[in-house]
Amino acid sequence: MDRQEYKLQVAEVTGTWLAAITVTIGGLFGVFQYLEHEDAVRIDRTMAFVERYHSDGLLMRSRLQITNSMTANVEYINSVLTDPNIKPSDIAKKYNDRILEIISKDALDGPLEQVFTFYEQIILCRDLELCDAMVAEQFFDADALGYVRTYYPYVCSIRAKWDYPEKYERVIDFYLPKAEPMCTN
Amino acid sequence: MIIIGIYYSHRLVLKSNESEDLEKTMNISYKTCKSILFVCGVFSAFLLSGCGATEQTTQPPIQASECRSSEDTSCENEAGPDRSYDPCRINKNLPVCKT
Repeated sequence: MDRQEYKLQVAEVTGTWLAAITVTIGGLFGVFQYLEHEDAVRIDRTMAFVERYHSDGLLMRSRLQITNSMTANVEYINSVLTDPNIKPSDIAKKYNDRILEIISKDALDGPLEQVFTFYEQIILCRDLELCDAMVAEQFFDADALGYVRTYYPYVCSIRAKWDYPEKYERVIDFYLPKAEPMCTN
Repeated sequence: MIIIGIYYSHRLVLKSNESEDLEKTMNISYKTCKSILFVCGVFSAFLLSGCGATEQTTQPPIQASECRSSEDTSCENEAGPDRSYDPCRINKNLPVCKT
């Protein structure tokens, strides 16, 4: 093999490798682009929920009504939770009664149904990997955990009234995975 | 890059057919291949290093117009994890507080 043939072979091999590397890099780039696009679509879907959550609609009015009720009744609720005369074993029942009384007085059934149904939908969207879990967590989880812990007597009440023990199960299992049975009272 | 490579290779092949000096053509081809390989490598590394470089902001800027003075929550707390009432902070004996 003379020098000329050697160079020709080197050029051929180099060209082949160059093409292979280019195709591989192009493929990897395409995969990265696809994954980024998937993430962007998930974030867009989640942001649609965020817009709905903050838009001036039924959901916002429901949240505002719940917040106003809580503002007006927070001392009344805390008086049960901090009462030293109530035994720890009785606290759940007393708290249940007080929350149900407030829900009835301030007509919070409708607003709570709106809010819980919304949280159920966003959890479903996360479970199906249609929404971005991290974005949803940042926007909804703090609010949702507070609502679920505060108004769990409403969930128990609905389950009992409708004879529907699985009502809002997705929300309860998601936010209170290790909680004790809460509807025993 | 591929199109440029093909274009130059095609030109070199035409040159080699027309010219008698094949060795000269091969020298050009060899150098061109090395140059293209180098440029491709640098360009690809540059492209790949850009993948995912954009930060994904998951927390929106807080706008003052979103605050409602009628609520007991403030904008300072709105972005944090402790922005809503939680009975478990007052009394941990509720069944929902065992998490």
